[in-house]
Amino acid sequence: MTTTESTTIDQPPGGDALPLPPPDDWVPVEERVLGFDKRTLWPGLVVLAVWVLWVHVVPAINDAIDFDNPVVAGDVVDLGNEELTFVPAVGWNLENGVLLDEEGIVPVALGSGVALVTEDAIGFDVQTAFWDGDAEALLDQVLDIDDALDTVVAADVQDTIAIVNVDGVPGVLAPFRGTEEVGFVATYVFEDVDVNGTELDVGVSATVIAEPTADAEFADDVVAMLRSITYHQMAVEEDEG
Amino acid sequence: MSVTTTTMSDPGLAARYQAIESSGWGRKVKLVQPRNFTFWVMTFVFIAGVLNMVLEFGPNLEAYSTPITQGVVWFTVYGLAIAWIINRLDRYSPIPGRIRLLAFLWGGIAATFGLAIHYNQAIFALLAKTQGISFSNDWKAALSAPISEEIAKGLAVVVVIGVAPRIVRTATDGFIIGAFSGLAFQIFEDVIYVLQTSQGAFGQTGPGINTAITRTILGFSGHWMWTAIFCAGFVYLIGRPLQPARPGLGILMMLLTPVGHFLWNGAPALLGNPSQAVLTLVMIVFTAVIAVVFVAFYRLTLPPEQQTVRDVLQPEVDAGVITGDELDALVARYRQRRTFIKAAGGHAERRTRKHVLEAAHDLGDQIAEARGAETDRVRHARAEIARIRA
Repeated sequence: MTTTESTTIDQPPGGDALPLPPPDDWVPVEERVLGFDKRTLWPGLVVLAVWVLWVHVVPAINDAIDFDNPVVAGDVVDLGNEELTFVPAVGWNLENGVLLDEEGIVPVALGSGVALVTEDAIGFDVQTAFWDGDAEALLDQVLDIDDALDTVVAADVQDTIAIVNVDGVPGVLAPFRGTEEVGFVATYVFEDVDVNGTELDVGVSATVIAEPTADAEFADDVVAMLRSITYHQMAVEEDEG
Repeated sequence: MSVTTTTMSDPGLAARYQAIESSGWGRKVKLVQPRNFTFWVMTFVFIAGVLNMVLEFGPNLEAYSTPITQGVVWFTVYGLAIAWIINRLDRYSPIPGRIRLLAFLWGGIAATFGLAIHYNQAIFALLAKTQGISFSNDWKAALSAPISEEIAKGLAVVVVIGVAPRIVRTATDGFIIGAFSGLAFQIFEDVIYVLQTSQGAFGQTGPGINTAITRTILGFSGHWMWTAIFCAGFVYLIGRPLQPARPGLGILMMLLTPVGHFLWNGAPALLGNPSQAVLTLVMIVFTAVIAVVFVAFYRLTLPPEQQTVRDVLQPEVDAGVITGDELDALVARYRQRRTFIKAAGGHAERRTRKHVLEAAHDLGDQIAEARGAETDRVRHARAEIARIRA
């Protein structure tokens, strides 16, 4: 590779030492190209090639492909163990979330399910995790984090509103209206969820963020999706015989 | 240029000079080299990495300050412990501290935030778009990290060859550089995992602590071992002054790393969604296997390093400063060295032997740094050995 790194001793050591090595930054005249040391080109070019490929080429390919995964009638998103679920609105784009009844996949564990559906200028983002507290406390926590992250500014949050899902499980919702975006954060807590024999509470947050110009016709979809977040414990199958 | 190769009257000294010259042992390194192309590319990727790190972490510092602090504190301690092990492995002709630091920072900042993270994020999204969300969830880690992370961390050895070619002379040098790069990558990644766990749990800190514990145990055979093998493999592939090229072995080692990483990341999907207990058991066995493979490859790389120490210190044996047995113990592997120390007899004698070996290595360091000259520091190192024996 670097042929000039001679290991030959060029001079007699004069009895007690090697001659001083050439300074690291000394470039022999025949090794210079455009002011650089020729021998240092290949490692730099290798690193540069990887940088161009990964930081520009691969992301550019990704950007060139649209996320096209429209929800069709009957789709249900599994938010945990096929028991905690949510029904995305038909025609919206499912960008994250595992559908019920998919075969041959690693199932969604309770407390880890997520979903993201988008339409036009609206995003409907669902997060779940074990949560020891009520829906109000969860809402406070989510708003605190959003405020710290500047995704939702505390000053824009109006009063909270009580909500229920289709099963009548209560939740709480905080609408916000900022200059750049409008939306709400809503939370539910499903209590005493059976997780491998242990009863835990699972918190769910739904964050909807829309551009102020978003079409109001999608409001019904948003409400329906929010109410569709439910927990139904799977029936314990009886052993036959 | 006329090269005068002289026959030296003392073949022992000639071998010493040759060893110092060819091993780079004791060489000072200058990192800022404006005429070095690799230096500029490296600096550029570092700046890009730091900027991206600030973008990734910055907004989260306030919202997730507790998990980030816990992660940073814990994995700093953990990182120091593993760095101590790596330094022990680099005990023959050690790599300069600056280069160890460079490899570490490369793995932690440039490789992670300047390179791998961009590729990973794009591949995750591409997989979800083209293969479906479930497929992406199950396979994205297995299909991205083995390529992106192994190459990004492994580039540490390419960068060091570019900026300090005289330092990377043996496969062991590649091994140590890779270990530091991989270690940093690992602990930065661990902190990110703790953060992500907390993000996925509404900012609660408990789940992040579980993640930290899991990553601490399974991380013992983590990135630092993989990258050590990869970088040593790269040295075998291209060959260096003290390491003739062995392309077959080099390619094998470089392929083993991504394949192992793929099996590790893909384990849940490959095993058909096993129970947590089975998965944990498999991971523990896997961890042990990696550790064994790591040690085997480390030993494989050692002979040129051991020969260097022998060549540098043999004149001291001839002069009666240390004994032949002591030199044998010094270049031997850990266990033989311990056997030699234990054979001394009582506690005080064992202690003396241990100290003599350490002092003899100090002498080697000083001789190499002085390039074979009789300096005050060399004389002092020699006097120390006599003092310890007295």
